[in-house]
Amino acid sequence: MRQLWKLGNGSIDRGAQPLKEWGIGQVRRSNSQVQRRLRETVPHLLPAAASDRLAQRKVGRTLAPRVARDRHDKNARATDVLAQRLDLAQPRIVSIQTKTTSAGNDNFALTAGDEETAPHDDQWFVFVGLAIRRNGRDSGSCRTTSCPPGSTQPTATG
Amino acid sequence: MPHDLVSARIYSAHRHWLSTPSPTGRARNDGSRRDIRHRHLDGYEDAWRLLESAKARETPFVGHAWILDVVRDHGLPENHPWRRRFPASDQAIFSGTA
Repeated sequence: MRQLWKLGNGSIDRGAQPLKEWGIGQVRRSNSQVQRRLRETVPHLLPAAASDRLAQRKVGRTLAPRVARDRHDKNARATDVLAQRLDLAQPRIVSIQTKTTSAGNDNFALTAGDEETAPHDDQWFVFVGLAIRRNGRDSGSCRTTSCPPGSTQPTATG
Repeated sequence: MPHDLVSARIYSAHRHWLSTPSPTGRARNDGSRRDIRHRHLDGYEDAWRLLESAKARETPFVGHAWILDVVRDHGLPENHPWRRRFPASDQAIFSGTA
């Protein structure tokens, strides 16, 4: 029986997980709101912490091979999240790059580097618009009605 | 949103922007900044089914049809996969303008 990787608090545990779940292999950016929203919006994404070890040794090099610029450079290019799904006949690994806007901002900022063709055929962008809800009313770009009062909640576009 | 779509969109939109004069009538200065607006994402909001159903490169185009028109008019990055197979617009949104 195949087992999904279960990640938590930076350590690796090979415990069995329910099927139909995505395992997060790498989280490069420390944007906790984006990652939380990814996990809330996509129940298939395991609520997992970053694991450089797994990304380096098991996933990262397979998905987006690159030459490290220095000894601290260990991330996969154009990848904030690596998610792998092993319960399919053909296991899938997807690479996700996240872009975030602040409340009230209509533009997602990208760079000329984002014009580069994806080296892998399963690379995605996730655009997350943050919004603030005050006194029961939305401000900014929030498109949902699920934002708790007084909190900042993102809306996600896959 | 598939990476190839984002790449094509920002490349063609930037070339379009460069081809138009500035408000003062001068030529635009090229730069590294690109952007995507919320309305450019129509069709992909909460579209997690796309991620589930197929690889990014095999996902049908479900955004505004005018986005494909802009790409046709202003080209694609070098080695972009759409140069070999341009996406069909049969699932596109046929309303709204850039």
